Amino acid sequence: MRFKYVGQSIPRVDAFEKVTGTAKYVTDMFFPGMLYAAVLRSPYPHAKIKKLDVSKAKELKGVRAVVTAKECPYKQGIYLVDRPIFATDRVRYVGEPVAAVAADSLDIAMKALDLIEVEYEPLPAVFDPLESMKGEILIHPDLASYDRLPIYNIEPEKNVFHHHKTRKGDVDKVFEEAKERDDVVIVEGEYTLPQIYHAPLEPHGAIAFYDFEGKLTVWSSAQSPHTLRHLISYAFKIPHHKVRVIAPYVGGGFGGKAGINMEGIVIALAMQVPGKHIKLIYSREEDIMATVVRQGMYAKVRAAVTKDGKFLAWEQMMAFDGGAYAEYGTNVVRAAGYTTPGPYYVPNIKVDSYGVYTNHLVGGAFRGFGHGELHWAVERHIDKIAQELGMDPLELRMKNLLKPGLTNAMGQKMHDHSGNVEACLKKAAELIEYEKPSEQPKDPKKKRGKGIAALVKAPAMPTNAASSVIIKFHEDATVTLQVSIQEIGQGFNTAIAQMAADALHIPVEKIKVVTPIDTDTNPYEWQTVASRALWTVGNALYRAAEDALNQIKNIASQVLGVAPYNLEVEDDRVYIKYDPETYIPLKDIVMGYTYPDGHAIGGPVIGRGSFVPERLTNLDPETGQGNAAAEWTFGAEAAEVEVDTETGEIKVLKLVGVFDAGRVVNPMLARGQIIGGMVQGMGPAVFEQITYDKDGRPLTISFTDYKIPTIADIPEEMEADFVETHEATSAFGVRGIAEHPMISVPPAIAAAIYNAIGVNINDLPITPDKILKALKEKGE
Amino acid sequence: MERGEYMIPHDFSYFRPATLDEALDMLSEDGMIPIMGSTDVVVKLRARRLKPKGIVDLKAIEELHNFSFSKENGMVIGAAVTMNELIEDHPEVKENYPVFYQAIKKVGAYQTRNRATVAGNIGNSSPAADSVPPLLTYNAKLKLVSKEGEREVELKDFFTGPGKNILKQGEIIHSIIVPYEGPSIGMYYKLSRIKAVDLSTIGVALTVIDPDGKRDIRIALASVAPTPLRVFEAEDFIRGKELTPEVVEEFAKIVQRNTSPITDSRGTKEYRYEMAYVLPKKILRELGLYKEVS
Amino acid sequence: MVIKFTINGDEMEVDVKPNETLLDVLRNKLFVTGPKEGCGNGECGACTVIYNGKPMNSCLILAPEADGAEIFTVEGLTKDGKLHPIQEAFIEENAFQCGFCTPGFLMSAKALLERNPNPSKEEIVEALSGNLCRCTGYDTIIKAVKKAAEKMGARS
Repeated sequence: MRFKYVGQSIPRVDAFEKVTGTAKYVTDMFFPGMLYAAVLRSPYPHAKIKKLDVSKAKELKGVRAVVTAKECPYKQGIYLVDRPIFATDRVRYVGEPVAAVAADSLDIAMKALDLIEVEYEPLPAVFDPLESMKGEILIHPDLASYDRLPIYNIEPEKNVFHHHKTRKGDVDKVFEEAKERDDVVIVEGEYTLPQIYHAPLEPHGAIAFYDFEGKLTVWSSAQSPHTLRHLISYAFKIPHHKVRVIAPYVGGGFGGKAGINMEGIVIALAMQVPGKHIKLIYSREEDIMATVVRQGMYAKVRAAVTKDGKFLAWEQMMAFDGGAYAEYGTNVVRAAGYTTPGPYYVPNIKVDSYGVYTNHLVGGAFRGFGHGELHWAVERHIDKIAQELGMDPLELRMKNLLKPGLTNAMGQKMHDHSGNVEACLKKAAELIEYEKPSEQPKDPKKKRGKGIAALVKAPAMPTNAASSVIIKFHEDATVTLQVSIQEIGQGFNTAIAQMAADALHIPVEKIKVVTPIDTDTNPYEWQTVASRALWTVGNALYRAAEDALNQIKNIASQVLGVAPYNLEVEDDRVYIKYDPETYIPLKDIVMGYTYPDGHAIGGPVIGRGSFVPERLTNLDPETGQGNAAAEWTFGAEAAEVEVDTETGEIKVLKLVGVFDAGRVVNPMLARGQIIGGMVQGMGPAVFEQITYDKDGRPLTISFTDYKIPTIADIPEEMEADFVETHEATSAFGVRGIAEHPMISVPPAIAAAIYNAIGVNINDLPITPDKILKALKEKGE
Repeated sequence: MERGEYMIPHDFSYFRPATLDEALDMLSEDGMIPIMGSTDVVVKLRARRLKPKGIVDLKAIEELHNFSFSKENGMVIGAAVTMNELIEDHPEVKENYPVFYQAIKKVGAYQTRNRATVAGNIGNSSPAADSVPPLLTYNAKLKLVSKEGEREVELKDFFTGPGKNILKQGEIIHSIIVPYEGPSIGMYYKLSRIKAVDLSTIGVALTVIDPDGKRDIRIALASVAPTPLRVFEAEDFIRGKELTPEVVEEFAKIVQRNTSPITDSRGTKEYRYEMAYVLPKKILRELGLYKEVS
Repeated sequence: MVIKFTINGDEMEVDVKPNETLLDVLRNKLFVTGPKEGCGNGECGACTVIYNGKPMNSCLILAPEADGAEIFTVEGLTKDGKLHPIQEAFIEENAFQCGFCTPGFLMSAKALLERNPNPSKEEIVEALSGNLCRCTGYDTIIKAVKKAAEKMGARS
């Protein structure tokens, strides 16, 4: 393929809409006679519902519908169907929906909530995953009976909703033999991180409309309109063709708007009042409490390493704090499990990754999908090994990289086209000037240091996660592109237009990507997740473009009397390759060709292409061996920090990120992903966390209490760079980079802090009090 | 029937009197609350932590917008003067009350400071109020008015607990009076999770009145006690003493001993307690008033 | 109660309730949906409008108070179909991704450049620290405001 637009920093195709305030999000949509919904939520982390009486709420003037689990006894879930739309006999987290009201105005709906009578009987609750695994308090006693994808391995008596196992080589043997060997050390460590919140600026929202013949339309802030449709269809038992999901622009998702979320609540209300639109826009408080958050994690690692720095065996146990429902989070636990120990080759690997129910907020997908968690443990542990060996941590990493010819934890062999983590690390080291120690500030209380970490992530998706594309030519040879990846800010619509322009050999200005996504008209797409969009849709697009070009050439072939393979499409014409002066304007072909005498041939050109990942398999449940990953993105990140040893304050001075992106489609937008992702990774590194009171009530349920980085918090310097190893499984040579920048920022910062002040913080976030405590323990 | 989306699920009436007398009349009724910039009140209304019968908006009252400064009478800040007005329109603030100036620049966001008032910050009576510790060090007084009349109180006597103060039903802060006691230097050191738009984990105002003359050191803290806290004991201790490492050490220890912090989502009590000792020393050092022996 | 104000120069008369905020009225009664509700607490800046010449969080202003006010929103930025230099600069510097926070940032930036046509990095940071963005990492926003200042200086 010849690349004219791919590789260019063209401005976003949605730019005008977004700077003029005309870009519409769900919250900006209004319908005549629309009703507004409000939700009654559980004040307890775990309780029995003894009584629920909505009769007084129903009588309030202006109230049009009230629903509870009685009217809506359905559960939802993408991988494990465990999350009721409304709590039935018990509530399992603070914020769980118990009832919902639709009324003429939001304040009436909220006043009606006050009239609902609920009696709870508090139950003992459990908030720590290790504690929960003891099984003394069962959060889902009926877990065994829940519908689930068979690849998920439940252990109901331990509150475990998925147990992933990797067994590669023989870890036990290595550790046993190591006892006898004086050239091998065994290093152990524990690493933890708390739940964190996505904080998209647009809270979740949905509008539902149910008509009198059973057709349902849902407008939603959904990352994944088709999967949402599928899950609605499944939960509410409505055939797919009667469910229509329309997804306008999404104001940030980061995984939190994948799958299905709060849509069921408005759907349940809409089904009570056919013919009325019901709108529910979550408040910030609800968005934090009652959508999903990133799971917390406890990890224990043991590694056997030769004294010259070769990894022999790696054993890692992770217990994820999955919160009250697992749902999507099952696959987070699985992905973290099969990727451990990240971008390193270890011949013997044993991983147990447990997803554990607790009475915390519900855990789910979050940018990086288990990889921020696993790399926190892996990268911190490598630093610990380096410290014990007295070896430079970068050097230790370099000795153990997952290079072509070696196998990963699943036994998949790396190829030359699989990506180059070594080049990423080298470039990141250059950008942070790793060899040069930090210049120390004049104030002796302040210390500076540098750190580096690597990462790898493949799309975590089902083996058959499919994409499809429709290309429609119009009378003037302009094109609309129908794809169903959602524009959530990542710049997909811009990048795919660039790729389509090159695939079709027409100017990018002649292409419009259709918005909003409408499942009635747009072709199928699995989900806007996993940094997979340009890779998977690119492949579908390539086939759709071929299909369209073939149709054009076939028509032109008849008109010009030459074989289709002797024709070429370029800009606004179809010409004969060996006689470029002879051509037909594209616009005279794309609706079919009409001869001077009036008779016509061909017809409108519609290109169609679809793609499903090739050669993926489920993993062996006992060993975790198989082909779960279709392609990998490697990267490296580095940080320089300044620590105030008096106050423990941490200033991140510089962040750099280097990723092997394959071919970079739009450097300006790709850089934006990296910088934005690194800042999103910095928050949880140094201050972001969801905290709870001793009774399990979340404390950080507003932007007053849950802080994210502001413009005043960003490092003085941030740099993004790329390695471009052609990706052989992509028609365009591309692979994803959207999630990756967030992943290894925390371990890079932790390493920089160690470099600055010689203390290891292994529990995120690295707050000033932890710094001071560690300094004290160190005796300073 | 009203339709639409309202964020505040509670009905109340709204009044915007043009004179103070009218306002005080209205406020003397039960269930009436005053607002200025409403940056705290609207948040509480949304959360249904406040359910007033009526709201009396004081912003139309001309005299509450007054600001004046003279060395004789000090600074008088009308209750309706916004923080950004103090920062941008009245250079006297920065010049004569530098620690107060530093602190109000750290309150909320630029947008918030276009509405937020010092009177509101005081009236809200949060232990974390950034504007209060420096005002305590400057010996600020409040003029309170109600239908019954007016009274002047010391700011240090105003707070009675978290969110609690001595205001009676119908009484409002009319103005803040900050005496001018001579030139001052100092620092408002705010530790918070993020660098802007956050409540303080701890805030320390250290003011030195007449640094080249009598060198009167004053210290007050936010977020370490149920109310903003001025530590007179520490001030008495350090008054007139040479700032040797031992004296500063003892000064910091007295400050620390007077605090009673708690743990919340912004920080632990242990950390706050530790900082109540660290920051006074750090500020004195950063101001160049003493050197640590190393 | 009926209040009058101007939005982007257009006079409006609208019946409001005391428990509505200015943001409620703009969005849900007048369908001026540029200003967004990101938190309702004055913490995120997505609802920022220029109110009597100053940037403010419209979610913290009770609707009746806006009687007589001059209100400027993102919808007023384009003139005769042409983008404002701040809008151009935001596009050229890739200063937004999902776009939800952008109307608020544009208002804060416009108000800044009106009071300070040539702001330093520190002044930009101070003026925009009340606007949250979760996508960009902010560095391109700082660049865009600087670029807008240059463009506006060159044009006046």
